[in-house]
Amino acid sequence: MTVEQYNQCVKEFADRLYRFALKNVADPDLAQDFVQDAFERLWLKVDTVDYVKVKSYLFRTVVNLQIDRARRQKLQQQHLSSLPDPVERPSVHHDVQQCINEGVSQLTEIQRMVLTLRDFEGYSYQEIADLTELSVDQVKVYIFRARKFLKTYIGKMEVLI
Amino acid sequence: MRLTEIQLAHLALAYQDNSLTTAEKELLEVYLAQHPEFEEELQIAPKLTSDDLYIGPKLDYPSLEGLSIYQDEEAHPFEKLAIGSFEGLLSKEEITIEEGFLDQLIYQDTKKKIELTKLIANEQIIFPRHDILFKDSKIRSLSLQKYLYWTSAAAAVFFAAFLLNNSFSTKPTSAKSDVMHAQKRKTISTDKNLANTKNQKIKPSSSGPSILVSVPIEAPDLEESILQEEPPSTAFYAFNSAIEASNNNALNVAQTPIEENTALTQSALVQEGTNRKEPITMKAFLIQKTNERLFGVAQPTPQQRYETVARYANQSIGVPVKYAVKETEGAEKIVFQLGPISVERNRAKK
Repeated sequence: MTVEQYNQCVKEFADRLYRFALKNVADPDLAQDFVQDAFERLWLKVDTVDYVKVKSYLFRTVVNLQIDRARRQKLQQQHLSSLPDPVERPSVHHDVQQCINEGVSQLTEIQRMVLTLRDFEGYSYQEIADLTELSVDQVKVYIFRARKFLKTYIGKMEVLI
Repeated sequence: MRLTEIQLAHLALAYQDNSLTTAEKELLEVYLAQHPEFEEELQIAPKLTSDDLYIGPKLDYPSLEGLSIYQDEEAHPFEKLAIGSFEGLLSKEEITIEEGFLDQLIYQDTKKKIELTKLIANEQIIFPRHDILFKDSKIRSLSLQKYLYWTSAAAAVFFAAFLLNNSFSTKPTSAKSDVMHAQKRKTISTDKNLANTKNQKIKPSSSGPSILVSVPIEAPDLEESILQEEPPSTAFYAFNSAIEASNNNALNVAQTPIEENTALTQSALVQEGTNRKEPITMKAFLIQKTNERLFGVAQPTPQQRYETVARYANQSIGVPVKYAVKETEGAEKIVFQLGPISVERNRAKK
């Protein structure tokens, strides 16, 4: 891959990667770090990564970074679970999209990831399976559960409104 | 038809739970036909099912029983059908089944909610620091693997040259002493040969006594002479004194290489005798031992060093290594040639 192609990748995928990462981690700084890391790794392998496969390379890198972070977070949560729960604030929803966003934040990490890959990037089940190293059936099930959960969540919110 | 309160409660709960059997459904329909007021109670009965399973008060969907999509998942058939349809995973049969429910309000509502679950990316969100991601030029990297053979050889020569340089810079004696030392070694071996030979003659020339020493012409093997390095014999000193005497008397000494060696013997031995008595520093000792290990002699000449380096490189890496010394004014240039690679080193003459 040439320098021009690399820069073209930055133009084409940086925003999409950022949106994907942001949707999953809900932290702008962390999402920026993920994108930067992904491009840094790409730059180091700029000679070996095929330009045609660069999109999946970048998304796979971000997915792996998220999985690593989720694992670390899980360990931290195990420690924090001994602490008292914070007081839950009642959420106020102005529209369905906001409601869905909140619902998405309550999905499991992997459900959220496969759903955003599916909806944001339009990846096929097979592509998502390749990116996340899951089986196609697992991907189907995760997406099904995520949609079912969100549908129920919307229903509950409608009742509340 | 009369049913007990318990039976009615059971039917109501099963209805709410959508778990009525065929017999119970028939029973409930018959009962509702006779007691239409019970339908109102049925509707207001407390829901015991979870929200996500509760779709609506439809009694039976026989066509949904054969639904194979998401069959291992716990969900209402409408949800399975709606999600499967949204994801484009329905089989032909399932599509046909779905068409039968398209007009149904509950299914429409379910499908609408499922469609709402599609995440829409906000295009206004952009990565704020594109500038730090762009690159100007490619990373310049040297792939050593391609040149592993040559680079390792070059590294070996560089390292050896570095060692040589260190050795030169720390050596207390000059190049002249190197030559003398080499001559001394030759002399020692000559001395040994002299001791063994019986045809040594000293005869005067016309203008004075000239010396002709007949020794075996073959120079002893270098390594052998190093090993044979030992104090000169008494016979040699006697012989040497004669040479000295002849020199002091300004005699013509026959100009043969052997005689040259012999003439130098004296000074070399004197130097050697002096050196042997002087204590040496630890540093000098280490250098001496290193030289012995590397080159076979304590104080090798530059030529010996270059030869050894070239030979080691040749043997260890299998690359033909040649060296040449080009002398220029006030300096000499040592060139090691490793196939296409040449390593040059300039050294000032002392």
